[in-house]
Amino acid sequence: MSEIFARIESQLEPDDELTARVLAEAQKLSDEGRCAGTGAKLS
Amino acid sequence: MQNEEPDIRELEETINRYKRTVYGIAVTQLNSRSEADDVFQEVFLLYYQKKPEFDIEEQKRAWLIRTAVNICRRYNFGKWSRYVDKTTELEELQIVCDPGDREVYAAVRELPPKLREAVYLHHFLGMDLRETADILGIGVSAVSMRLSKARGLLQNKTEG
Repeated sequence: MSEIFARIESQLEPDDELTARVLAEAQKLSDEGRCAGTGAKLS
Repeated sequence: MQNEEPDIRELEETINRYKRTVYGIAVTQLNSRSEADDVFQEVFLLYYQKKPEFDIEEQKRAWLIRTAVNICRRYNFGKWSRYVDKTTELEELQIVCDPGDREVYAAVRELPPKLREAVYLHHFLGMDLRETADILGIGVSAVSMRLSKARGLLQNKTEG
């Protein structure tokens, strides 16, 4: 079963656009100071 | 894309390393690319906002998997039916495979969510029983029982 899953898993990849969207949203959160690691307060 | 900010750059590296793992969990648990996209974003933005610290890389992987599983549970909890929407075909999930693989994967998709979680973590991601139990928040014996039950159901479906 593991071999079948491995073959299928290789197709379960998100679009690059999705990664770009997450990074853009993270940048927005950072700019707004809503991240724990930036020294800013969590809102 | 190469970002100048260290935190964003670290996030990008984390996404590139674990995107297939997180996305695979979401697609398998939710049977929907659009919901998997939402879970994917939620997991990595939570990671970015919380900035959890880990001693070893394996802990980060476990955190991301546990978070993805928990978010998928929330999505499934809100659904009318707890079971797979069998009308969602593999083509819709953009998965192309030979008939034998298709039969097994389709049978996995029809397992109840609790069994599917255990099967995915153990057989897909190669986690041992202890790791699988920790992620699911249950005992090792419960994982063994779920896997055994899942194997029985899969055998019935693929042989019948």
